[in-house]
Amino acid sequence: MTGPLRLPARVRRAARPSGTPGDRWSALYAVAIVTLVIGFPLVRSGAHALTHPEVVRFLSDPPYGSPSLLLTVAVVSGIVVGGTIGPAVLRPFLTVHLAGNHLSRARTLLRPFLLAAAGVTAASVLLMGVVAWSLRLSIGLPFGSILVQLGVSACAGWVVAVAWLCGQSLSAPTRAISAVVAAVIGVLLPPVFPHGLAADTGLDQPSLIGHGLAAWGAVAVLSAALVPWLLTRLRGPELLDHAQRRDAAVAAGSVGEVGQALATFRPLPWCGRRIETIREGLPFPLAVAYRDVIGAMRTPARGATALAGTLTTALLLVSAFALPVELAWVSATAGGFLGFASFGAMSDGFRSTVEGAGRPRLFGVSSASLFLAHSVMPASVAVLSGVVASVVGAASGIPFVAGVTACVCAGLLVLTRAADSARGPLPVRLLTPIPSPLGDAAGVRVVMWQIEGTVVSICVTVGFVYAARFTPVALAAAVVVAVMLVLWTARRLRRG
Amino acid sequence: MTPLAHSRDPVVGLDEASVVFHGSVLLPPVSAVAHPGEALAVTGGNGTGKTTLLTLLCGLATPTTGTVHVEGCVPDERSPSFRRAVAGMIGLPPFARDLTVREQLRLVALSWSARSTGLGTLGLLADDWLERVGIPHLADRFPHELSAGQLQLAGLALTLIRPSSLLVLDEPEQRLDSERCAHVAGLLAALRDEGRTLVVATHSDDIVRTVGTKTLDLSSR
Repeated sequence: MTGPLRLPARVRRAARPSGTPGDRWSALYAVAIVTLVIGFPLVRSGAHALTHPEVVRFLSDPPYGSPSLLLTVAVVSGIVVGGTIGPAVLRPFLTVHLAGNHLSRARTLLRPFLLAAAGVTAASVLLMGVVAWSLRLSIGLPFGSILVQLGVSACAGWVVAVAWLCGQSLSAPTRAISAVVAAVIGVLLPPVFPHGLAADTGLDQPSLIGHGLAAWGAVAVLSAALVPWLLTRLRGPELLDHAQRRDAAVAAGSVGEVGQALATFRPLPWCGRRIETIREGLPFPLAVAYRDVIGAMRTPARGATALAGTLTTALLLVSAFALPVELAWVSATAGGFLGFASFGAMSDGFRSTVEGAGRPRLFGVSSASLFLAHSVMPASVAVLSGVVASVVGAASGIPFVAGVTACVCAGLLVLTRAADSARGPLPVRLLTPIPSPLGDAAGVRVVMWQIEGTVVSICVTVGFVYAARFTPVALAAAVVVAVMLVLWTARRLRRG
Repeated sequence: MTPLAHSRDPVVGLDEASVVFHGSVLLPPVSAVAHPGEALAVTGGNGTGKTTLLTLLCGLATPTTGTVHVEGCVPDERSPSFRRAVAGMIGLPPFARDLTVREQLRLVALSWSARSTGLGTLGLLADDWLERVGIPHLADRFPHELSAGQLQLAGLALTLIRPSSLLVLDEPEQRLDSERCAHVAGLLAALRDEGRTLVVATHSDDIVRTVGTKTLDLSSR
């Protein structure tokens, strides 16, 4: 009988016939070079860019509780995302032969989890490192404080990774409950940095340094103790499902089909099949809108995340009017990116319509009418989010034009999503090689094609936020942009 | 365009219609007619042009030479009356991932006949078609919960529930076992007897025998 201690290594070797130690060193060398040549200067320039007095004031004394809110959002997102793609995922072959053997999954899946956790922790440390660096440059933050903040951010990153694993190991209903519980706890717990980033380092109260680090260390150790238990809870079919999805996504992504790659991670409906979905008495567009709402509720985590995302988008756009003009673009960019992503979860109807556009007619209305009917739900959510953000903004003393801008931008983001859904598969002509001194430049075209929706969204939000700050009359240009987006979508639909 | 189910004018008329794409002959010149209540079984090996012929009838392609007529008109996918006259299944139709099979049928039926039916009738209509296709037990399933054969039957139900005078089907026997294939053949024969015109591309002798009143063999061209 093969010794249990040797089997995983042999299986791993068998699963990597083309991998050689030389390849590994080459990859390591490439990572090191890219980090030194591109990564380090990027971080440095990022830190320098944040040294503007207004930015420093904001970073050193952020709004009360905002870092805690950020951490809560990260933890809840980790739990939700874990249900679709978890951190403890092997390739399908290894999932069948390694995670399906007689060894404990606490052992066979520990390595992929630790790799994923290392990535999350590194990202968290990097983010805090940039902030700490800029504070060091601007207000001379001591090294001790920097180390404390890096330590806290590492612990926070680890906790997020464990929450991610937690999401993978839980069933869908339990995951939804856990996400709500985590959100409530996150809101109720005392803020992570109650006195701001610079003031919370305990410079004036040295004992706080030890206490803060000890508390975070304890949380990290406690969460680490949960990892083996969570790993052994993982179920084989779900592990294989995650592995196959990731494989399909990697395959699609490697040929430039990022949209298709992301589609593999769309959660499948699992509840609410008894709810009355088709309302026969309603006009067709309203019946479709009602059906879209119920359909979104059948993937509750996705639907709730999309709703929260659109609301956050509107709040980000409104808050861009409260930030210093040098920082408004950060909030507007985040709003554009998040809005485009969030409306994606409400675009299943658009995608389904496009899929049927080149086939024999199934519905008794034209593709354009069907598209219009499917836009009722996301447009309503956009308006609702804009109104809520306007009210919140008005209560916080932010000018009324901020709310109007949020509504306008949200509406334009829906149109951008519609245009993006109608674009179809990657055109083969984009893959034609373009010789350049730096190599084949066709990849640039493919990347631009992939991110055009995101770019347009960010241009819309940043452009209108700055334009409206300059003069509210500029919002009238939204009509022109809307018409252009509609024509763009119609052209793609006709072609499709 | 008026339904011709009770007239003897041909619903389908092909006159030396061919399709050539970049010098490759996708469909050699073919001629055929089909009247109301007739079923044209299109046979032939892979790559002989069966699906191309069906795309011509659905208005999704235009002939390079010759003419194609459906109910006396040139097929034009943009024409509402043409769309109402022709129902087609070329490959699986698009399924809404978040609706059950029964709901998908109701939504399609609603898009065609919302105003003329009373409340609840679409549900009965959907149940009737699920019964006729032989999948009433799958009514509450989401598409991802269906096997390949079950998806084929659900797709067929989606295509059949919408009104049409001409049914264009590409290999309806795909993914089906012999028992289900025979059931589908019987259903198509019943539709033909009800007065619908059918054009069915198939590799199944069972469907040719049971459904076809005429055969167009593209292998012989």
